[in-house]
Amino acid sequence: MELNHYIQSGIIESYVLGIATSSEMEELQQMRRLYPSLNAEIIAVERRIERTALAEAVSPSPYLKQRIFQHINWREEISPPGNDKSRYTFINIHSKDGQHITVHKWWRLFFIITFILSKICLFFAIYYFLKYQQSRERKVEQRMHTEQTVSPE
Amino acid sequence: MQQSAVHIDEYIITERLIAGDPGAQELVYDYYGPALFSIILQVVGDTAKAEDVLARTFIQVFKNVVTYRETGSTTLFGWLMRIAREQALKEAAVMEQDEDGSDDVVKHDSSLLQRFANRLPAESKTIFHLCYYKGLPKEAVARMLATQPDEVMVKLKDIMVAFRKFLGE
Repeated sequence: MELNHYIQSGIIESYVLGIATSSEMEELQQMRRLYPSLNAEIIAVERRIERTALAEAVSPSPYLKQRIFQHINWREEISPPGNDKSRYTFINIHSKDGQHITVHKWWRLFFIITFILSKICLFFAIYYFLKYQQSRERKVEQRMHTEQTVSPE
Repeated sequence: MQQSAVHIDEYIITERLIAGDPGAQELVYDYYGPALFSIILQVVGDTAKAEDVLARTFIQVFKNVVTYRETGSTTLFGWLMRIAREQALKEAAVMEQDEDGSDDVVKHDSSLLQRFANRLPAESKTIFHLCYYKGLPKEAVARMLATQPDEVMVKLKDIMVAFRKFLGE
């Protein structure tokens, strides 16, 4: 009796149409385990809708079939090439030789910044080195100059 | 039942689908493709977009058919129909975001669900429309109609009881 009430509540239709909530779906699965006869009810509703859907069918463009199966054949070639229906070439862009690694794109930014910073450091290193050398030369020159002016006396 | 004679043997066909048999895939596409296309078209409205959805549906179906038995589905069509609607709702949501123009004209007016919806009183029709064609959760429907989710649940239950009667006619 309880089962009959449950069936009459429209829960099956709601499930079949896909508008049942997750808790309703769970409940239905539980009820199906308790009352396997519920399955026959679900099948009946699905068959009824199936019959109307087949009667109301609208044909899509004939090219669509080709498009779908072309896509599927492409995918199949990645997995074991079982059938010799392979009319499409699959090009694997990713080399899998173990010599290459893939990193996050942020590493590129990091690398560019590091590169620029290193160039700036190098520039300053050279700049200060030259400045230092220049000042040393000047000092030596000055000393020589003072020695020259002192020695004649 | 005459219907069962015409009906393709589902158990064998699903076994062949799971095995990845291209012949079975084509058979299922030829048999159910147009029916699913009609269901998708009712949600999406646009023929080109509906074809994209149908393609996505079958690609998903053939890929995930291995899980078919685990989903606890009772018939192949029931499973296909739910996947097709899910995919169609995703597309419809994207379309709505892109266009913003919410023209709620559902084409294909003579379909079973539309015939049923047309019989419903205005408010129930709106609830059914938002739940089925828009795929909105009850809470969202309640917010749109300025009522409580529980009330929407009760109304939807009544609608489903009515749908059960409608199917039995």
